[in-house]
Amino acid sequence: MRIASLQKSYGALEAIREVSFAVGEGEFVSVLGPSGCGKSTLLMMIAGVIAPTAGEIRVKDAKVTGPRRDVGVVFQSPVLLPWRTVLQNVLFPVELMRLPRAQYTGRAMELLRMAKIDEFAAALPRQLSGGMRQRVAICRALVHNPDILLMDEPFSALDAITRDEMGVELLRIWQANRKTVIFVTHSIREAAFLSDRVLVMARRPGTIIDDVAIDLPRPRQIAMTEDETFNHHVRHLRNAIEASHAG
Amino acid sequence: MRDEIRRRAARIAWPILVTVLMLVGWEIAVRVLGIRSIILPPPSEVLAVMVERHDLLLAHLWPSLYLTVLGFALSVIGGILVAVLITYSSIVRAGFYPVIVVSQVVPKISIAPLFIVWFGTGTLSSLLLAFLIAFFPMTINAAMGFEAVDEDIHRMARTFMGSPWQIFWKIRMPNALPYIFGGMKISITLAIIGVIVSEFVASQEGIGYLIKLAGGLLDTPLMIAAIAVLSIAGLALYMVIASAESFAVYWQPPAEVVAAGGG
Repeated sequence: MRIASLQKSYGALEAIREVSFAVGEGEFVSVLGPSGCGKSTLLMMIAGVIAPTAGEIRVKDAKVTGPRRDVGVVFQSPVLLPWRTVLQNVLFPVELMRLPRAQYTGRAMELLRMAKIDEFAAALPRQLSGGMRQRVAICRALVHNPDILLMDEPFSALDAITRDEMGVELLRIWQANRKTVIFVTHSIREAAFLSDRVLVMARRPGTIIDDVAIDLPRPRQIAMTEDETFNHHVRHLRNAIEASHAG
Repeated sequence: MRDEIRRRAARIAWPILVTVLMLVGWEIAVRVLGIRSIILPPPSEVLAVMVERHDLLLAHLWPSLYLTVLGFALSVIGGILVAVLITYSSIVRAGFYPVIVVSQVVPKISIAPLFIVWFGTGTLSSLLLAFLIAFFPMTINAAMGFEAVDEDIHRMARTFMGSPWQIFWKIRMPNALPYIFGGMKISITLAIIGVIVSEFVASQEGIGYLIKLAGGLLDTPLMIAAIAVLSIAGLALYMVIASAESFAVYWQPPAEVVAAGGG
């Protein structure tokens, strides 16, 4: 995936200026930045829901012009449909894309099993905790087997303990599926813990100011957050963000 | 579990007890104070009339009920259709919606005589008045329900390639259901009012006609019996809608069910 000189303005307001980067297949890349730096806008442009003002996004050499089948999105809130059961919610993209439902039911159940919520397949969203709902949302994003998983601060509404757990779970699911992941977050630790690479964004206008490779071994464990290497990366990222504020 | 049953029983038992107490109080008051039956008959006498003259009461109930249900059904269909137009057409939303809202300052009951002039004293006038009076809360509620879709849900559906048609049927429609049922509960009682008023003004049958006729004959027990029959029928219609609602809106606990608007 390649993004070239991407730009987005709302009237006179410049939300994103000159963003260019490339993401390799199967890579886990985080976009780290303060709120209001346009990282969600960037993600929605990659999803094809918002059109860029200038520049282009190419996935496998094809230009993005609208929503695509090879993308799955997880949002900040789970956005489940309250009248659908967990399984029906997971199958929602399959329905919208008019894929053969019967073929995907097995896959949906497999994903729910992987996320350890298969016993709630017939439950309604309101019967689930916040963390469980977000797991359902992740399963939904993966059900049609997309190549790219876009995540927009997916754990920011969860408590700190659940958040750490979900991070480990996500990596486990990612390791089994090997999707390209673009993970938007404002948490430095979360970005450093999950990613192969962290892109640091500054605000007004939103642009990428640093590109940091995280060379921690995989599979990652919570214990690694105690390591000097991890803390070195966290310090580096924090300095990059603070430098952007100063300037 | 046992607590749940007890709570549910209490929810039904208390209103019934209060009703019975009020009827008993009425009965005693009438007898002790020696009020004449022509002014206020005791409930026992009303009940006796309901039993004795049930043929007459039912003969007049059916046409009223029939027109109420028909007018209500038309208002539901029409209300939902107009709500769809309000949701999807900016012309309708900008031009017609404010006119519909402002037109509500006209008390619709006052139009009844005009309808008689236009459509005669038959059933058509009653039907149209019931429809007109029940239509507004239906439209407003359905439009609110269609509009009340969370922006995030909309965006989610679009990232998964949902078409506008799919977004309407799979998201807007189920989302609007609680609002639509809220509107239906208001509309059904208004449809009854529309039919009865129209029968007051000009009609040869129906419960409204019977109430007016009994009033003219100073037959107060029959009048109150007719009102009672009408109330029971109204309550039954309301309960049919309420149980359809708890069946159709299964994902919402009953306490959260929304209702808005009014005529």
